[in-house]
Amino acid sequence: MPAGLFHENYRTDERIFQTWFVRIWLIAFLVTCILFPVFASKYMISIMIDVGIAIIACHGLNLLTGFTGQISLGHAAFMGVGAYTSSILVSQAGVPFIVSLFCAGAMTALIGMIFGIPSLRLRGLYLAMATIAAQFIIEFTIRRWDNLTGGVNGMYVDPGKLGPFHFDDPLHLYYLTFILVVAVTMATKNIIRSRSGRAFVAIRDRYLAAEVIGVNLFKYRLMSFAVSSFFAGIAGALMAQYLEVITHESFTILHSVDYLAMCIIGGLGHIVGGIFGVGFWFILERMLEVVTTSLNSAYPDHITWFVSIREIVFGLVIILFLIFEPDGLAARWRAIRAYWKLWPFSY
Amino acid sequence: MKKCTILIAVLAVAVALSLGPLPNQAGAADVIKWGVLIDLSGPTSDWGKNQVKGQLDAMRWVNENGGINGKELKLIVIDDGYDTRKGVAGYNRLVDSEKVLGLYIQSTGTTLTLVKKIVADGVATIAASFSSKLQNPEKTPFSFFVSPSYGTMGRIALKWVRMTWKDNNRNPKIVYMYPDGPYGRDILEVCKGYAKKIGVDVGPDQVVDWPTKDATVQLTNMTRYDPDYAYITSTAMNGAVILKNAKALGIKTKFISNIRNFEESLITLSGGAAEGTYGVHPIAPYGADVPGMKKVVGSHEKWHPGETGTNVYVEGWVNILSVTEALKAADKAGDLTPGGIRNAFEQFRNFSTGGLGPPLTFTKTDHRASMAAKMYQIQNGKIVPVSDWIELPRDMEYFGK
Repeated sequence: MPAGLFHENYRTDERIFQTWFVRIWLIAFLVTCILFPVFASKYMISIMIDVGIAIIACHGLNLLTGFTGQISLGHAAFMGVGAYTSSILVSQAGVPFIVSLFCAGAMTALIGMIFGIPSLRLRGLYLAMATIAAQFIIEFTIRRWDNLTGGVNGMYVDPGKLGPFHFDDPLHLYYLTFILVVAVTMATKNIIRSRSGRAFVAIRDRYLAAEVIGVNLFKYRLMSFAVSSFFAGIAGALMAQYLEVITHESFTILHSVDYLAMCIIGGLGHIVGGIFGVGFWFILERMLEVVTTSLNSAYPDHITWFVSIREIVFGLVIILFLIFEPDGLAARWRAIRAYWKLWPFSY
Repeated sequence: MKKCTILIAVLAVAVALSLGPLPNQAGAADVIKWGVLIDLSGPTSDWGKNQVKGQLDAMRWVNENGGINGKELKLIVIDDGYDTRKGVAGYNRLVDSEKVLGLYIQSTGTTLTLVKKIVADGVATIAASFSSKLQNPEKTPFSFFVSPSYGTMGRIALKWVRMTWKDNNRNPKIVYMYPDGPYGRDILEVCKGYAKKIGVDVGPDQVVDWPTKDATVQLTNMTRYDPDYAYITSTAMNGAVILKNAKALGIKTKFISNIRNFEESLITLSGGAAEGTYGVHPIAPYGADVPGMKKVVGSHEKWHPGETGTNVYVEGWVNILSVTEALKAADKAGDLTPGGIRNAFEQFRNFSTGGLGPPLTFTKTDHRASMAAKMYQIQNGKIVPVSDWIELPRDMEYFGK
């Protein structure tokens, strides 16, 4: 029996999940996710839908920021485009929900590409400014295009249907989100392993060198924007189903910053980074909420203190996190795995 | 590798804590849970903190004075930071996990986002968003609020402007200043229609967004039209900036604050610039000479010595006293469910909170609590009434708009 992992051909070398051990754990994890609603409360299911949507959005942002090195601060606005596209198509044009889901992705990809055009000339902070502009333009359009978007009063979202499934039922929406999360995660991983993915990473690491070896910068930057926005659009369409009524206030710049923070915490440029970042974020948020609400009930006189403390702790945890884990949770995960691989003889 | 182990341990504890069952101290049947979804950390937090203080004190007072027919009233407060998504998550937690009978929702955006869910779940709600869109029981059967709507108060202010106008040669001129959002734009259609009807000219709108750091541009724009009055829809933290800028620019226009802008903290925050400005308000200012005020002032002095009482604090009391009344009636009828609470609210006929707010009436077909408010002016750093109750008829023309 071989004591280690030996590859005899390229096929096995390129496998995503290389050992049976990893595969079994993965299957166990997926089965847990599938069985989750059986033992979880309605509230936990709704939280998990929110988590799933955030993971899809973060994969998109990670592809753009983590792998291609283009900072985007307009991700929530792109989600808004997806949310409104899907809802308008369903309620006004009578398009089936599943079709509208992909139309939302496609529309958002198109808008994303338009705002991605400056990326040829702009880099780093300057590109971040351009994406902030996207955020404001899209938000303003949603606010003022009353006939189409319902303006500031928001818009009712018709619940999506697919055969026997109605996505105003949290359970059905949970499974739809779950399937899409798995699909998007696999898609992102495979994009990264492909020629385009290598081009993205080359652009991020040294764009001049990439250009010299024949990578078409404009094409791949635009492609990165398109794919990233496509995922944002799908996340947005799901968000619309989750919220049931959408207003421009659900897609503000603060949400964009949140997504970027989730990606940084999880680890930019790692597929698992998106998942870890979102997980960490939601767990922290919920923990602080549970602690503050219990404290609020116990000491109602000092309620305003606890709220301030909650904000401070949230900020503090993230700062400490960035100091002690600058590469994000994904890097720590890798270190943990490397440790256990050699355990107990780690000389 | 120690660091690693600690990290894993911390994460494991975190997961266990957050996924585990919530601390369920209030499982007993003699506790009635009521949710409060409010902004304590966002752009309207100055207001939210005073409101929640009033509600919690009122809860304490109610529990010390017999509770809900002997049962304890328990408020569960969740901060949504004026963020609709956090609002929805907080709502899910209150309704699905804490199983509250009803809840109070502050932000207009969150209220609008939740409208459909509230009807589907059948949860009684008290809103701080006094939007007339929540007053038609055919559309929102479980929504109540304890004041005239923003639109009605806007019309009351217009009526007062017209009533006190002396110049017969021309109509009074008014301009609306508001943040661009569902809250800010709520009154525009109704008020502009009403202004036209009663003969008040309306100038170009001035959009002043939150958080407000400077309103000089909008005020300068406004002076070109030279209005006699400007109606501010905002909150005190933001509205104070407008008043300060206006004072610095030496603008002669008289400002009328809406309910959310007009509170005691406007006086301190604006550093005297609020002196002489007006406000339209249905709730009595803190310390006013009305029979219901004694317990409010007494509780505030006992539990928050040294702090300033505000009319927002009083509003918190009005909210909880109304909820208490409805819960008592529902409990007496043996129907302590959201449906029962709805029925109890709909039995309100001129329910009085001892002058803290206007008398409240709800019916099966009309959730307009009241149509009356007073005009106030800030004189020598105090909120002083300058009119008696101004009441509008319950006409259907503006119902639900």
